Amino acid sequence: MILIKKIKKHILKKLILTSLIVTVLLVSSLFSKAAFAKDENEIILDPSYKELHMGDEFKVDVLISTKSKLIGADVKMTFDPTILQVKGIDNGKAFKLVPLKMVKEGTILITGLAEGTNRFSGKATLATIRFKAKDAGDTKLKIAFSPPSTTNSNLTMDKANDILTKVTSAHFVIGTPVQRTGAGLKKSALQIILFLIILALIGALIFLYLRWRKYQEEVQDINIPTIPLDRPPSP
Amino acid sequence: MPTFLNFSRKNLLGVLLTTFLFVSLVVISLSVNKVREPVSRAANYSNNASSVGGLEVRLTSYPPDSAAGYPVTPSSAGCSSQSGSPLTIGQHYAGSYYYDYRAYVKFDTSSIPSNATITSAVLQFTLYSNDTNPSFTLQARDFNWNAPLSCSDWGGTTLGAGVVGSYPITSSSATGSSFPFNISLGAIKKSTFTSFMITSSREASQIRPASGVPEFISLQSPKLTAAYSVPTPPQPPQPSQPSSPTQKNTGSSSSSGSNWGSSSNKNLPNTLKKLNLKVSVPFLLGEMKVNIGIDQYSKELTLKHDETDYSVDTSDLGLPLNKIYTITFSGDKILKRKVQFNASSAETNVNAMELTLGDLNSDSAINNQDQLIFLDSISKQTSIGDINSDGATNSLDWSILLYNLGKVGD
Repeated sequence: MILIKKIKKHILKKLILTSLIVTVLLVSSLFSKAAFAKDENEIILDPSYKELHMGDEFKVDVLISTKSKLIGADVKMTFDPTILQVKGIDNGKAFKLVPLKMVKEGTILITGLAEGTNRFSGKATLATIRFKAKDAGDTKLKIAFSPPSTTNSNLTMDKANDILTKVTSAHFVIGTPVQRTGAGLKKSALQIILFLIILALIGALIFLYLRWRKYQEEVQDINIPTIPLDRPPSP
Repeated sequence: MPTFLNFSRKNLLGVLLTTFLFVSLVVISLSVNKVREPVSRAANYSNNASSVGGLEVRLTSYPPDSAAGYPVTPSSAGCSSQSGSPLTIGQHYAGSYYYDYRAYVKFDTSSIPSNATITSAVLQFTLYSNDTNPSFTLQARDFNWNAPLSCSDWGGTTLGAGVVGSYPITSSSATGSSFPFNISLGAIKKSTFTSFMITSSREASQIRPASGVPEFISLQSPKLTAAYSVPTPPQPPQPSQPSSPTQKNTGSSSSSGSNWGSSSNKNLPNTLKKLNLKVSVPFLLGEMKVNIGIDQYSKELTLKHDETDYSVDTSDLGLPLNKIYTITFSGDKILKRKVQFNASSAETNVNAMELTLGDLNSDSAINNQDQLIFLDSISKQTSIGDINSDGATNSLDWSILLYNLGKVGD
């Protein structure tokens, strides 16, 4: 009886010890993950994917996510103006000043600025863009970001320090597959016509060349006598 | 043989033509060199306005009616003054009141010697905003006003001050663009300050502004550039060169540093030949031009973000050694900085330390005015707000502006 009790006690001790070790390992792994997780300073477009009908109006939030203190943010985006139409840009809550909201030839420029000693940190909307799906197609709203360039998108801290590390663009599918194919063909109609014209020209050139070759061969076949025929042969 | 002869004739003609061209070129180059032979030294004045201001007068009738208390006491007609730039010029009619706007600029031309002869004078502004519907001519008038500006400096209804320069403004004149225009040489005051009143030709002609149609513009960055000649100071005789009675401008200065003055002083002994400048511009990413002045001379220097050492050829200036000089750095986006140095040797090193970016209206202070100019620039995407010269007006420039906010120039 005593022996059984001792064995039970031993097993219980081992169980407690094992569970303790497992707990410690789990907690430490979690902490290490948190410690090594990279703090991204990011510009995100939300939603990042959406399927739409032609003529739909929809909104895209331009979000900023950072743990640093920002003095301002610049976002430069490109889109296909034949598929999407910008209906308007509304200020977000990240910055009090949004002096730049410009749409020009498939490019959107938005700048938010902090006033005085205020700085932005966390995750919030810089601006909300209102779009209209004007034509069918598969299109992307891309954020221009090419480090270390300072002229496209930036997340700016004090002393003109750009800390932007990551951007997430958006993808929109507009219309049914048939509509998208039709729109694609419509867009590439000019290219197809140009290709056909070039093809016809090449064909015409090949045809002319072959005709010329044939003519040359025919000319060579004619026997031109070397002896003059208008005089009697010399003795 | 005849073919050869023909060919040879053609060749002969070619040789003759080439020889003629060569000789002509030699003659032209020789004559040009003769024209450029140093007979005098250069002297330029180029500076931003030392004081600026604007006055707005509110009128109940147009043309101004003296019965309404105008122009005897402009304050009774509703006068208010604005300090700093942008400067508003023109007219406006709103809310049953007529408004006239005049701007006043003053330049410190005390560095121009009293015995100098002005050879050219150019006044320049940058168009900050354009709200004119009908076109008008911007008029620079020779008018002495007292800084700080007050309503008593208005200048009268009939604008007695003479027009010394003008520039046409239309509704299509692009904001952000700089426009220089010639000024009468007599308007430049030597050894003292040169002051101008800037008015609209419509106001001068007392054309009534239409209701709800803005007829005014805003200007900033006033800059005066003048060239002059002064009698040459007594110098040691030069065996190879004849002495010249005066020094003359040789054109606008460039970053090469070769045309500060004429080459007549190049071989003068005991003069400053070369300045080795150490200067940096924190946050500058591209290139920027600054104006540097020593004594009465000025020139443009291009500063680059990755360079701190610049060499300036001063051999043309004839600056005597063992004398203390002040070198002044000024520009469209930097605070004015003055550095004194002792020209102890022919090649002197000067550490100008750092230039401060952010003074967008050239009033020698980085303040709220600059912030407003920046916000306008970023919303319109003009280059005025591109403080770091990276080619974009964005939050990085704002960051620089806030970092330097409150700083003042020398």
